[in-house]
Amino acid sequence: MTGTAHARAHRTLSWRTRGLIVAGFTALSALFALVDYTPLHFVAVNLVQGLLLVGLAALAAVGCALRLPVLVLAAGSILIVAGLVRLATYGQTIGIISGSVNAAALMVGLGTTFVAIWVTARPLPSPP
Amino acid sequence: MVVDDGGVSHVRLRLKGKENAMIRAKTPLTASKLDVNAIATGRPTRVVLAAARIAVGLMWLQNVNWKRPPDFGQASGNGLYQYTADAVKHPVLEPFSWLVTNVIFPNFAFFGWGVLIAEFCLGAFLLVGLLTRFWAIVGILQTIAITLSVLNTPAEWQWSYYLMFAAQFVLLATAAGRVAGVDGLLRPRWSLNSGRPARIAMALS
Repeated sequence: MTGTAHARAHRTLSWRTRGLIVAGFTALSALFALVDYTPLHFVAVNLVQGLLLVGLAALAAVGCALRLPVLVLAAGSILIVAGLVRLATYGQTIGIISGSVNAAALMVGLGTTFVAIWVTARPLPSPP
Repeated sequence: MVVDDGGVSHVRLRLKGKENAMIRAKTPLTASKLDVNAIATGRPTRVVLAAARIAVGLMWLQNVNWKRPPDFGQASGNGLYQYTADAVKHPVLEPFSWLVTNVIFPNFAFFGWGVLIAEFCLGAFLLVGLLTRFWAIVGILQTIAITLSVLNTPAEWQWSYYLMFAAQFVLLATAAGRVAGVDGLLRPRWSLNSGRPARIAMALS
């Protein structure tokens, strides 16, 4: 492996950059609410779910900007809880708890990613 | 000459004529030295693997929506119930048809929730690349069940299911969550942890 390749292989993004990237994708996923073309309507996002995605993406982005990983953890945890609540109540409409279960799965996935990014913001454990 | 450039092995034979023959005589090249069949692991390959994983995740995600509790279409004869009933109407494998008739139908709500939760997790975790090898195996098992249900149903395109198998075997074989996925983020930490959960996560990711 050449020196350049070695450096490239070990180049990693900071947790803040990763958090901002995932926050961007989280906010963009709310755009599925505007897609009206069936073959590309991968996820059915309703208004409440869209607002939740954008709001929590903003919270995570603020956490990255201010170097506060706990905000990334909070955004991830809320997304996971919101997704799981919708899964458990799927088929019912309880106040603002409505919408599709695939948007709920998307929330759980993105929430897991935020939690993983929070984990990487912490110091590495010492090797055994 | 073997040059490793960013993880991609290239074989560059620049020497020509007499010079080449002289060097060949001194240092005979073997197939293992040349490694002419090394699989590329550079950026294009990694991008394609991540895209394949995300596409498979989106496929499961899009298709989880029509599995609706509480009865999953049993009363009206549509939805998940209709597709499961195809295993009996248009049998692919007799033992599977027997299983559907005698085990799945009498417990259909339980089965429906199992399918909903499995596909929910497949969509969520293949999309972001968490425990990708494990979820690829779950996806393959789920694809077997779907194939045994609807392969002989009129107007079904059999290659849909063969391609689902192929895509998920690629994710399994390449551990595609290590590229732009949560597995790639957490595996360095899991590898430093000697606990059982970390070792299991390393095996499943």
